[in-house]
Amino acid sequence: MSKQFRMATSRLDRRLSCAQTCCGTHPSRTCGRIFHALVSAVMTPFVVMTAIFLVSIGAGMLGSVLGLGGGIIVVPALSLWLGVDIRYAIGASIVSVIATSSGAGAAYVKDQMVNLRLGMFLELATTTGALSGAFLAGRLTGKWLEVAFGLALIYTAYAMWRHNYGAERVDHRPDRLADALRLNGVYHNHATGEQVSYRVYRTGAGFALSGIAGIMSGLLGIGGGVIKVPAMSVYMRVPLKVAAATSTFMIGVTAAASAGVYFARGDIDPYVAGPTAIGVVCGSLIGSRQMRRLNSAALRAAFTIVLIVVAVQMLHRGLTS
Amino acid sequence: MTTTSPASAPTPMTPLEKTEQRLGLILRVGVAVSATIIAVGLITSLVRHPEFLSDPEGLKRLTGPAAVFPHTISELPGQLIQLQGRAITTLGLLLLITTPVIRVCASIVMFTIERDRRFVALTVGVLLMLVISFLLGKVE
Repeated sequence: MSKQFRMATSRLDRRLSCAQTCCGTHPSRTCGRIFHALVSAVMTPFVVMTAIFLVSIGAGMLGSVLGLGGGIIVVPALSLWLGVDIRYAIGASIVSVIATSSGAGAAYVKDQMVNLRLGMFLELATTTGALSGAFLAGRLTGKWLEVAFGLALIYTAYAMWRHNYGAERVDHRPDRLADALRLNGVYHNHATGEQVSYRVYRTGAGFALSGIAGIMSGLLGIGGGVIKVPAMSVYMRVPLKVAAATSTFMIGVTAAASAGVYFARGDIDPYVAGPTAIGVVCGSLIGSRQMRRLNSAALRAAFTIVLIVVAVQMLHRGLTS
Repeated sequence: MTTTSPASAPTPMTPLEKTEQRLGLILRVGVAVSATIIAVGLITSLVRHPEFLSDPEGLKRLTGPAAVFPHTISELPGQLIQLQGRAITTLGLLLLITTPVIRVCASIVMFTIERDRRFVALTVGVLLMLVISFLLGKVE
């Protein structure tokens, strides 16, 4: 406890405004504390549950559109602003991932935006990767890993951005694996009202990248969506909306195993995770409706920003820990 | 007699699309049912504990490290019989957590029916990974 406090004060001394991913450091700690003090003075359980619900609507909207879990919002919002114990905040965030995935995933399947076969194929890589990551977690030191991952994410952000302006070289080598597994798909573009068929390229490499995404999520406790969406969109040339929708559909499966573990440990508090779940379901339904109208360039820009934010968090965590 | 021009009729679904829609339905039902149970549980809690609306101290009991709620599945039935709000909410959360797993199981069944051996193997692999990681986590 005192060690934790010392660490916290030394961080404040260095005037570090840390950022937080699923389980790690903290954004604007001072503001969070002041806010938390105000919150605990006036707030009743009902008010806090309502606040959790409202925050979760936002998390569900963002998470469902970008193909991420929404843990980026849920953990800091609950633990820093609302004073929820970090254990329960993380427990609630894993529930929020599942709620986003199932809620928005169902809507995307109905709208024919998910490439289910591709999703299920890549799920094998992400779940295997997550399991290996959990094994490696005790054996690898996180520091350089975080720095390396942060740099990789910055490169990914750059690749995403470049992709936006169509400057990349397209190679149209047919992919035998994609053909054999019947991964090529058709999606309904709600903006133009037409059916768009597309092919999947570099399936093997995409599978490997998804495996890495799984390992990273097991090792560093981050959602794999930040790697999966660019892997599908930039690398495998799947339309961005399909990539985001497929990622949304996939993340629930990987999260389900962790959620089972968190539940067994007693980290999933009904009064925290309950309002989170309902809020996220509402948010993901709103988000999945917005997705139809959203244009890909805006989505790509938003995703690039999220990538940079997560990259900076990772670099910061790696360099200051 | 009515005649419909083929152009205006909705395009018929391929068998693959039908399968996909069924999987989507599983997710939808899972989310709707679990969200309803969670909401019922939370409302029950608020009705049974009016102090939740007025007592700022209650928050620490709820969100602090020492909060009391069903930790294990074996505790759950007893509390459910007493219609405790938190137990109902926990039941809903459990159902929500299981929904993706049910979806994976359902896809194994569907690929088996379609005789798509590659994808049966793939989805069985995914399920296996889930079971292993859950069991390992529990041992830890």
